[in-house]
Amino acid sequence: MLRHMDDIQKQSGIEPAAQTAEEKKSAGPTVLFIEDDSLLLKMYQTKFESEGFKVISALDGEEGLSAALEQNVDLIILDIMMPRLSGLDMLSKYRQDVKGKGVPVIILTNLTREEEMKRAKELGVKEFIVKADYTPSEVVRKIKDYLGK
Amino acid sequence: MPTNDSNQSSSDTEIDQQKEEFISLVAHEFRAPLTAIKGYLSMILEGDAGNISDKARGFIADALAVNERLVRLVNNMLNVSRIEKGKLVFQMEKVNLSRIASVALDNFRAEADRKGLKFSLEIPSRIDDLIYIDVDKINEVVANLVSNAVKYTENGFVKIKVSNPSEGVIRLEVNDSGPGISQEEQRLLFRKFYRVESTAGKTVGSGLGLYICKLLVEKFNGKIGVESDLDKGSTFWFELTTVKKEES
Repeated sequence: MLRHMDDIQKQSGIEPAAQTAEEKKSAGPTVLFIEDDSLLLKMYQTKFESEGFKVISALDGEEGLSAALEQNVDLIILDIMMPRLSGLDMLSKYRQDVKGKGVPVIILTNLTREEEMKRAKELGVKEFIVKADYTPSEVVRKIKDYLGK
Repeated sequence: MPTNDSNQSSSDTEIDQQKEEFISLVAHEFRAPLTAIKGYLSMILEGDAGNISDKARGFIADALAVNERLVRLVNNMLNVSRIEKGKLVFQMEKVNLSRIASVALDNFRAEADRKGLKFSLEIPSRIDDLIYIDVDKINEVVANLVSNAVKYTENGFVKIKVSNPSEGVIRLEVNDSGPGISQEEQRLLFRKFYRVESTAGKTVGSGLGLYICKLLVEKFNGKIGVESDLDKGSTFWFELTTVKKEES
């Protein structure tokens, strides 16, 4: 099941952020955000949508895997530590499916252990972004740079 | 039959591993709220929540600067044992050091302005500054040096300067008009947990920042140092080898 902004806000009791005209346009690339922290998800989703991305979101690895297999996305932004199915286990399953071979995956996490970074590389991850080191705008810029390469 | 020494050493290794695992998990938990605070505050400053007054902008910039200090502290805690054990994973790429210096200037502008410091960056119009490095790690080195300069300088200036002291070498220095450091303390500065006596207790710090800067710069085959005198300010610097566009 896919989560959309309204569901996340209802679940977390968070009031929707003020919407600007910019936020309503979403003609750009479609990204799938797989992130279990609903507060961070809302933050990134708000920023990415205001920058013209279409955002689909999922709150754990299992939801993320279903979304990735059902939807056509240009890029997946994946957290690592999540309930039910971790980001890297999700990615491993996704890569076994024919649909999961070519879609680029960027890891956005606060976990920076050697084991996970190595495994991510083995699974074809090109960028490993530490959340706490970047503002949402900087993450958007990195993703735009990546998609523009 | 194993000796007592080897028993002791395997138990030490186990404790070390548990300690590292614990630090890693605690740091991960710390980073989530720090990410949210940094993210939302920066979005307010960028106008995502509409217009705000200059006074509110100043308050938010200060809160953001304090939050950044905590982000650096958590990074330092995480990095120190990993670098020492050679377990830090690097993501190497080509980057211009001048760009890293400009980012540092932007990131510390608000804090320097709040203290009334003259804060500047000097880059010659022609510079050979392409390096092959882990961008996040070199950002941490520059941020540690600039953060110290801004933190310890109460009046005057902080100047970041990028130059080529010789062909194929790029140097970044952070010069300040702060209290300066005695010759004796300069020899101890880059040691783990060392804090300059005159500043210990007056400011927040772990004594890990410069130690990590040294480990990282040396990991990238560079040199790091300080030139200073009491009451005459300090210049912290590092030098790295440059690469050509087609090399890696």
